[in-house]
Amino acid sequence: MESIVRVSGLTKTYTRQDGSVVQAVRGIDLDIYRGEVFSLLGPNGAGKSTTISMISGLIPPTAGDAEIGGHSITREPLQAKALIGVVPQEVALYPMLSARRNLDFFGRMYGLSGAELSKRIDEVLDVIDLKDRQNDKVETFSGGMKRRVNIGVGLLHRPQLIYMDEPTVGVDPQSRRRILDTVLRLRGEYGMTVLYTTHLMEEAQELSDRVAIIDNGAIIALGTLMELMSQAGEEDILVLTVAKERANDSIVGVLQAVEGVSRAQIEPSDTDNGEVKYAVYARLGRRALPGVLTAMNAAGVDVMSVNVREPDLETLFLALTGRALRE
Amino acid sequence: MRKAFIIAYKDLYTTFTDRNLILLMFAAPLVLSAIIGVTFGGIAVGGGGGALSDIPVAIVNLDEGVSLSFSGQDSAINYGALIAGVLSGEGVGGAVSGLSRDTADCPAAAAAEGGEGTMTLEQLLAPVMLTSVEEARRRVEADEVAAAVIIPASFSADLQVSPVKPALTPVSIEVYSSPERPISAQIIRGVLDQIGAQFAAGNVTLSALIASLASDPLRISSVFNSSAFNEGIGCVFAGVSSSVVIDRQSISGAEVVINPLVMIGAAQAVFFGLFTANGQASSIIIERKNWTLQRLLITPTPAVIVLFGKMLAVFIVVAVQILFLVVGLTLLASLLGGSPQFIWGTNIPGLLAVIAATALGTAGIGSITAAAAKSAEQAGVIGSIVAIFSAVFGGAFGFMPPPALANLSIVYWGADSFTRLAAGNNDILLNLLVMVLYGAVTFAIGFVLFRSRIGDR
Ligand SMILES: Nc1ncnc2c1ncn2[C@@H]1O[C@H](COP(=O)(O)OP(=O)(O)OP(=O)(O)O)[C@@H](O)[C@H]1O
Ligand SMILES: [Mg+2]
Repeated sequence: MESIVRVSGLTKTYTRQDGSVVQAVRGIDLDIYRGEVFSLLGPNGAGKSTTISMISGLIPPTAGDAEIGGHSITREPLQAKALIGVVPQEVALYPMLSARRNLDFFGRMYGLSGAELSKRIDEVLDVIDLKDRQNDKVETFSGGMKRRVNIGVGLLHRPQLIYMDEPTVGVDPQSRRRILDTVLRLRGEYGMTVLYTTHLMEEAQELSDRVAIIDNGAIIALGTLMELMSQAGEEDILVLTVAKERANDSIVGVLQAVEGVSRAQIEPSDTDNGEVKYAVYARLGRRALPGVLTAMNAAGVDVMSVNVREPDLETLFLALTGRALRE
Repeated sequence: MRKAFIIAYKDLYTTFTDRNLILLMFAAPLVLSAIIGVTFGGIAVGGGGGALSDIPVAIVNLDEGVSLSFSGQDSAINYGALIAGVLSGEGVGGAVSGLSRDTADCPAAAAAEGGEGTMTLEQLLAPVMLTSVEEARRRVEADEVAAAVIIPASFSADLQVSPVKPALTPVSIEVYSSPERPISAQIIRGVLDQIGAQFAAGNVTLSALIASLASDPLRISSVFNSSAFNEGIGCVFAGVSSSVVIDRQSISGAEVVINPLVMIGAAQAVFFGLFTANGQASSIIIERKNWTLQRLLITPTPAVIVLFGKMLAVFIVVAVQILFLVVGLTLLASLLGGSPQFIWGTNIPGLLAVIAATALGTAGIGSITAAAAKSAEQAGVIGSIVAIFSAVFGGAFGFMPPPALANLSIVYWGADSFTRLAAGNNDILLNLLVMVLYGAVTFAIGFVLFRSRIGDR
């Protein structure tokens, strides 16, 4: 498969004013293939935006480099930048200008003009579905509409590659759906390559061909969804919540004795909310559930709630870091 | 480069479609300058087109005169009386015995008298002749007169040239002026400068003539008696009385009838220009906060072009503002005067060049504050401090600090250029150069700061 982005040894170290050092990105290597949706999944502060900023030529890396379509972002920034569309995490628009003027201005910054620019703007307005509001000031838009214009700007020059940095942050479910559909359409209809960052497992799971999980500035897992799932384990997990005063050392043994259960453990938890969670691993979780509940009942332990978790990226993240993806 | 213009156009569009900003930027300084000008400048409303007239002035002539003697032909000259006569409008009769002439015989003087839009000394000054220096000073202190002109006893003797004393001795006329009436005092000083210049011209001619004649004594008396010679020297003096026309063109180098609106407006224009430059340049900080700056920098556009585009907009906005102020004050002065008055002088290309250079200098300063400040509020504070210091150093608040400080201030260089042009003095090349250099250096510093802060949070 042909790579459109090759990142090697990418590193960013910040020195704060008080002299403390932040290693925002610690030597990332990755390839993004032409035509795929590649997600960078990680919690807040993982280094997603810093990575995007470096590979879009906004900030210089402390070390390492990225090649975009064969052009080094540090040595041939103008050629590399021309290939990329960027949708920043922030809504980067001029509030006092209309949607159309925003598109027009940024289009010109990508070297478009005249009838061609006008045609592209119409196309983009179509994609983001804002034709009827195009002449209103962005200031007057809802959060979701602003997000859509923010995406539109990144599409204007028909880049082969688009970076979208948490494009659904702070939007209502309806707008989120629209944005996710747009991403799928960009790959499906226009054959674009999308680098998508998010801290939401569901989004990565729905959109991506491949996912890299990033934590603390480093990539801790990378692969197709299938590959990552198998890394997470093939078993379902039943999560039983028990009141703390009812929890005792024998429960793990009771659970492991149930038929169909391979193992059980206490789930690590940072918060003390008077509850203890037990993770019960079973190949077919739903089928093992009645036996598990009966055994708990027999042991005299009240189960407050049961949650069946099929393996997902969340599980993988938990398994790799011992922390939940979102706090 | 095209992209720099696109960025500048976007900024100009944003600025000029913001009604509040427009009001703040254009109307406020105009109104303020006008108020200051009218209140402190003592603009006489009406008065036949002149901004000022009938300035009370005391004249004390202590000059003892000197006698000329050439081959038996005696004539007495009292230059002090001549000046007193000129200032009082009494003419020069009696000051030069044997050389009494009518103004009408001197073509240049006659032409000047009928000039339109000009003002004669009689209209401008209301003189009183005094014999006591003490009395003159008392009147100034009591604010009865705007200034006292005191001509020293040896005035004529010092000015005299002869075969035995071929060079002029430097002379000075004392002008004792009231601080309450700075503009009137300036005008009187300007008039004297002009008279002095004509004296010098007359005497240089005279001394050259005498020098050449001295070598050929036989011809002295015939030349001295010739009507050509008499007419020459007569017109030098007669010319004084009528060709000191109070017209900004005729008096170079002296801030004579600079309209008070210019004296105040010039410094104010630069002062306000600094504020505007700062405000407009702060849009960089706002763009950084809104992330539109970052978005600009990830388009295939070099950072220097982005900053240049932003600064181009600053330059244009400041230039337009100053232009607006200049035009506005011209209209105001014309309105007050009752007839069109080109208070900024008639050197339009020079005026435009000064406006451009001033805008360049202030835009450069704005680029530093905008690049260095952490927030628009901080930039506002830094910018105001810089503007106020520049204004104080530059003499915008009515007093002039030492040149070492003044030379640092763009307000000084800008205001000085404007007043020079208003006074008909076209010697502004140094000013232009300094301001352009100022702009270039500050922009360079601004760019370095800007570059180093692109990735900051
Ligand atoms: N300019 C900077 N100066 C100092 N530290 C910085 C700077 N930019 C980022 N960091 C730090 O680098 C780390 C990574 O930040 P980054 O914005 O890349 O995270 P992120 O994955 O995008 O998080 P989020 O999901 O919150 O957007 C954080 O600890 C952040 O505080
Ligand atoms: Mg981020």
